[in-house]
Order: sequence, then C-alpha cells, then structure tokens
Amino acid sequence: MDTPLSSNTKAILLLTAPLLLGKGAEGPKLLSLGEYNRLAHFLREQNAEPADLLSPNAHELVNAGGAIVEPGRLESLLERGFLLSQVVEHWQSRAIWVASRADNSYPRRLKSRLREYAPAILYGAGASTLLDGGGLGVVGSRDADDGLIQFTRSVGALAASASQSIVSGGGERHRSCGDGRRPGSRRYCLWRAF
Amino acid sequence: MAFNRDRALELLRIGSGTPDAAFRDGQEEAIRYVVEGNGRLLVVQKTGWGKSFVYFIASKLLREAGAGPAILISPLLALMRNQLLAAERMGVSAVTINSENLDQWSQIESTLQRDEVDILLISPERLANPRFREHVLAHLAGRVSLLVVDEAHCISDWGHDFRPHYRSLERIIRSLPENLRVLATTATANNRVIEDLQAVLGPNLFRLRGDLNRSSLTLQTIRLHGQAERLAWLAENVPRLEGSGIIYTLTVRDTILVADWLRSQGLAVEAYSGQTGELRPELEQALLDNRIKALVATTALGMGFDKPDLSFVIHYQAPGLVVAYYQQVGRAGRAIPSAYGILLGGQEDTDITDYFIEQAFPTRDEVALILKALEAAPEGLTVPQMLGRVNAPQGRIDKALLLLSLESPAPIASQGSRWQLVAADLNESFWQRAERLTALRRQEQEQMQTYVDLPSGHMDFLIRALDGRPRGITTALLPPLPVEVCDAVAREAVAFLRRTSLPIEPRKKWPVGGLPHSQVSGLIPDTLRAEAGKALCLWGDAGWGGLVRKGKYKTGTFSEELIDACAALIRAWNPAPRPTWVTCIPSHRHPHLVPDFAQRLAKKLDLPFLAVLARTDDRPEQKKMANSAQQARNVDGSLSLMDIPFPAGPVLLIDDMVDSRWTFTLASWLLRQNGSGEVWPLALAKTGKD
Repeated sequence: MDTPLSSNTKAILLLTAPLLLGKGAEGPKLLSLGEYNRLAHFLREQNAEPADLLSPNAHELVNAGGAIVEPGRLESLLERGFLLSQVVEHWQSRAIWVASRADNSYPRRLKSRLREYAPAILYGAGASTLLDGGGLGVVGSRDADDGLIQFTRSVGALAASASQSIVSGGGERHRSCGDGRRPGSRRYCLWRAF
Repeated sequence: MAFNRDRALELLRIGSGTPDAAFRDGQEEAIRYVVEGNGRLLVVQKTGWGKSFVYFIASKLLREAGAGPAILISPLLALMRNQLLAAERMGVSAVTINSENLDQWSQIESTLQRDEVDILLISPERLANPRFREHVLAHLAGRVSLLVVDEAHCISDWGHDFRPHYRSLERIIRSLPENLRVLATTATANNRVIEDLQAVLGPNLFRLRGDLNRSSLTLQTIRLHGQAERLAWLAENVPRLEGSGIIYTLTVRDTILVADWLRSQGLAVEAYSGQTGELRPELEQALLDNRIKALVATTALGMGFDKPDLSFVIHYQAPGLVVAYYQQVGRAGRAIPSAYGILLGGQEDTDITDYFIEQAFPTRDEVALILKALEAAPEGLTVPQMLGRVNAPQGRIDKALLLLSLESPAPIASQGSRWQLVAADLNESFWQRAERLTALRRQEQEQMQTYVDLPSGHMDFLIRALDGRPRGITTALLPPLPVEVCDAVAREAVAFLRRTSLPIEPRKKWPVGGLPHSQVSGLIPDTLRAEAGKALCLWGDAGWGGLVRKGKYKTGTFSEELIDACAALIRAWNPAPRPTWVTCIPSHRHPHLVPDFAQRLAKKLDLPFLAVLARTDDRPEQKKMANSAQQARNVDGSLSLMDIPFPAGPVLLIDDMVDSRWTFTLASWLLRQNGSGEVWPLALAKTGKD
C-alpha cells in the first residue's frame, strides 16, 4: 500500500505520535487520547478538521483552542513536520502503513465497535481491508519458548485452512512466524496502537 | 513570518562582498515567498543566477526570527565551497556532513544539539543513512523550518540526472505536512520535469522560471571519428583559445589520457574526476586562478562549480543527452562577453552512452536471482555472500539492491549489512518505469546525435529541446574554429596512444570464503603476491587494441609490431628488480598463441623463456563469470606447476588478456610459493569497462 498520508493523518501524527528517529532531543509533550479527543471536538465545533492546523493561517485556530492545549505546545508539536516525513519514510520502506480515524482506510469494524475509544492512529502491515472481515488475534509473551512458537504455528495453519485471517501483534518472534510466505496464508500485523 | 527586506539586502551585500549589490531578477521575490511561509516554491534558474543566496538569506532571516534550522539536500556538496564562503561572510552557520569529514561528526553533533547550526547541508544518500538519522538528524528533525531541495530535477523520472536516492526524497516530500517550507531549485527543467515536480510538490506550488539563452556562447559541433584526430584537434586549437576552460570526457580513463597528451604537447592541463580525491579543491582553484589552461574532467566537475570568466568548454565526446550538455557548456561565458562551446563527436560516443543506459537498471533475470537467493536465506545475506550465489557483477548487484530497496513498497530491506526480504512483492510498475526511462534515454541519445550534426542554429536547438522560448538569440560573436586536423599532429597522436600503457594493480586479498582447491583465504602475504603489472592497451582501443584483436581472432598469432611495442613498454616501465626470465599463462583454447608470443618477446629481451605453468582443468572463459568471486573460483585449481626446475630470479609473467586479475594472482602465488623471485605481470590488453 503506497497511498500518501492524508493531511488529517499527518496532523494527528504530529499531535499524538512520538515519532522516534533515534535518541534525539526530548520533544514537546504529546497530546493524550483525552486531550486529543477534546481538541477534535473543539475543531468540529469550529467547522474545522485536524488538517486545518497545517494551513498558512492555522495561527488563529491554534490560539482559539488555547483553553484546551497551550498554543506554544501545539505549535511545537506541529513544527515536527520534517521529523514526521523521516519516520513515515522509515515505515513505508518496510511496508508499514498508518491510518488515522479520519481516513477512509481506517478499519470500519474498529471504529464502529470502539467509537471514541478507537485508537486515533493505527499502524499495520499487510492488506488493511482484511481487517473489516474480522480475524483471530494471537497474543503472547515477548519471550515465547519453542513450544509456544510451535503452537502459534499450528494456530496459523488452522486459520489459513479455514480461510480466516490472523491479526498479530508486534512481538518479535510471533511476527516472524506470521510472516512466512506460505501459499494461501493471509497475514498481517497490527502494531502499537495509540 | 514577516519578511525584512532591508536585512535581506544587507545580507546579500555582505555575502557577495559588493557594497552596492542589488537582487537579481526574482531573488528577492523567492526569499520573501519562503520566509513568509506561503507554500512551496520551485525556482528554475540557470546556474550562476544565485540560488544559494536565496536559501542562505532565507535561512538566516528565519533563524533571526526564532525559527528552527534549515536542511539542504544536494547531490554534490563537495562543489559548494564557494557558496559556503559566502554563507560564512553573512554569518550563516552552515555545516555539512559527508563521508569526508567523519572525524568532525561528533563535534558537529554537539553543535547541532546546542542549536547553533542555521543550515545543514547533506546528500540524499546521507539522509538515508541509518547512523546519520539516529545520531545526527534526530537532534534537529523536530524543529526544521525549511527544506531546500537543490538540483530538484533529480526527483523527476524525466530528469536527466536520475539519482536513486531521490526516489526516497520524493516520498519524504509527499509525507511532509503543508506547514513545512519547501524550496526546490534547479537549473534546467523541461515541461515534463516541471509537471513531475508539480505532482510531487503539490498543487500549491509557486514557480519562478528564468530565461535559458546564453548570448555569450559561440556554439559549434565537429565530427571527428577517431580518438587520434580529436587529440590532434585539441592540441592544435586549445593553445589558440583565449583564457582557460574545461575539456569534458565521458570516462575517467579519458581524462587521464587527454591530459597526458596535452601535457606532452606543452599545455598546462590537469585531469579531474571523482577519483581525483583530495586534490580536487586544489585543481579547481588552479582553474579559478587561471594558473592552468584547462581541466580535463568528467561530470564530477559539475553542478556548483562557478567560474564566471570560463572562456571555453570543449567536449571530447558527446554526452548522452541535451540537458546534460546544456548544463556543462553553460559553465562558459557567464560573466564575460564571449566564450566557445565546442562539441567533438566521436565514433565511441554512442558505445559509452549505451553502456551508461544499460547500467541504469538491473535485468529481470538479475532481480529474480537476487530475490531467489534471499528467499533461500531467511537470515538475510551480505553482498559478499550474495556474490558467491548470484552470477552477476558486484556493481550490478549493488545497483539492483539499491533500486529495489528504494521502491515503495520495497521487496527488500537492509538490517546493518544484511539484506532480507520483507512483506511486500516487487510491483510491476518498477519494470514499467525502467522500460520507460530506458526508452527515454534512447530518444535523448538520438537527439544529442542530431545536435552533433547541426550545421548552425545550435543555441536555438538547445533551448527548444529544453522547452524554453528561443528569444534574443544573436549571431555567434566568435569566428568558427577549424574542422580539419593537420596530418602530422594526428600521426603524433597515434604514436602517443601507442605509448600509453595501463597499470594492473595486484590483488591483496583472496575472495570472501577463500578458494577451496588452493586452500587459501584472507590476506595474500606480501611475498606471495604479484607485483604491479602493465597492460599494453585497452581491448579494442585506438592504439594497439586493433592489432591485439586481429592477432587473437584473425591471424592466430600476435604481430612483430606488438613484440616491439611490449619491449618498448618494458624499457620505459623498467621494473625493479629486473626480471631474469620469462614465462606465460597456459591455455587449452589457444595452446600456441600466448607461449609463441612470450617466447618471441623473451628472445627480443634476451631472456630465457620457460613454460612452467600448466592447465589442469578446462574452465569456461573468465569473461563469462560475472563477478570477482565467481571468477576467482573459476580459476581456483585450474593451474599447476610442471615438474621443471626454474630460476629463483624475478620473472615476467605474460598473458594476452587481463580481466579480473585472478589468473595472474593465482599464477604468481604458485610461482612464488615454489621459489621464484618477484612476479611482474604483463598483458597485451585489458578488458572490462572502467
């Protein structure tokens, strides 16, 4: 999947994602899910959307929302544009996609079930449309032993034979088990959700 | 952010060192646009217009207003020395991070941490480097206020100067939020390139486009097929030209050849290429100061080199496309009333540009082999490991890995030095793009050849080819130069070409993984290595190449002239300690050709000839092996020493061709291990392109 990020996704990432590039300088404090939800609510009231925070006259909007988030903090977060591009490039070069709640590509199933608790940003790899068909989640410890890995493999094989998708987390070994290029297997991973 | 015009003008005057300097057409407008943050800006102006003033002054104004630093991405930073001096005068803290200043990295890192840098200049390759991103970029990426993309035509598929890493730059720009200032600059952009840039930079792009005509240039094209004729033309005409200039060649080897020839004719010239290394600034300065008549250069002397009084640009061979030619010839006559732009078309032009075109993309077979090898290695492979499994030249494997990893989605990714498959397949669009670009390169090559044959109207042709409007083109200011060469000088040039020999560097290491038959690996000890050898000519070149080819494939014996030439080469070369006997590399395919030649040469040199090496195994020809690791294994175990006593003195080791050097390396190792003295390799011809 190689569609460019929507402006809304870019704005939400700037506000809420840590955007880690290395051991860099400590950035401004990110918005929590609660803060972000309040800001999103405020923007809707103003007949605006997150993308408007990136326009040339965003200044007024930022100041108007001062009661929710201090304007200086908001501006510092929005200044992270170049950083965002670097992190996104890193994801894309590894076939990882990002979708925000404002995007059409955001799995409808998650939005309808979780409503405002749906993560503002979702990261994943694989075909995101499969998520709307549901699937089986495999959760496990980071330090899975060989027996568990074997078990996970058999679950994967069972799901594949039943034409069911596996939704896996980002654990190092689980992920690689799910990544095997087995014919007929439908696989994708979901990573850390905000 | 508000634009302070007075301060901008003050900076221009300080930077240019001219107290009454005024902005050139469009400069102030560009700076204002960037500082005010109205959106993205594309500046299309010919070289010498002063793009660097735009981004240096804009970064300074932004910093003075409290904004974060700027990042400039340019493919050729080494050539920005003049611009950096101007930046320094304006008090702009500009630093560059590249592979040449590794020792200063930690110092630069701390300067960045203290937020003392106004503009960081890097190459697109550096931007993709993981260490750089984690240790340097991480400190400032969150505060960058302006991204400058220099030579932005490289982003476009249609740009003449396609650079693989600009592919990721394209994606980076697409994922930038609209509130980040972007300034893209380029000297030449035809409509297709501009359309592409528009697609990448977005619909709200503002364009500033200058005029393409260079009225000071007198352009002329002359077809002279042979190298000797062109060398003669240069020797006759360059001394007559006023001032100093640049002579462009297509290959590194030709910079050296042409410079040697012109020096032998009493001209002060120097060769300049990417391989010139640390001497580059010094040579540039010598040209800037008119201390030399010319630099004989590849395109390594390119973007960013600014000598306002350059009097001529001569091409020894025609480049592959008009845009590149326009840029190169446009370095002449920037601030003087008249200058020459002469193009000499030769018979080898198309061969060389064909090679560049073919090198640009991997073949489907190569990619299939690489992906298959990676699929069989879930832990990933390093390039040296891949060389043992994929029969393709290392250069092509490197190129393929790079292009594949820059695709989006990429089918492979690197983790340290290992390459692995990732969860994405290679998109068919990769091949469509490669085919489209290759077809385009062919058209451009044809267009350039049309230019070579033009009797008149050269500037008009160039401007139209670049989608510019040919306006105000006046008749040439300088008289045309002769199109004929003097026979005597041409004969001298032939003699010169025949005197030129090529070095054969000894190999110092066995291939990765060693050679199983010979049971060797790692470093080759000093005492078991070949010495630095010589090749008489390049396979098929204008000096001796023709005679070597004739001997090998037509008459089946090398002519007496080649014996004399090798004897002369050895006299001039004078290897010390002198060889006391002669031997040669045996062959099953041509059992008499090389021994016969070696024997005759030994007689001429008055040295004994002893055939002591034997072929133990028939192997495919070395030229069918596509990379060094495969070539080394192909030779391994195929040579042995016969049971004949031989002298302990230094030996001249003869072969007809040298390619990978593994045959010489292994034969030298055998000889030295069994008691010979130093081994001096001598080949008639060197194959391979370099």
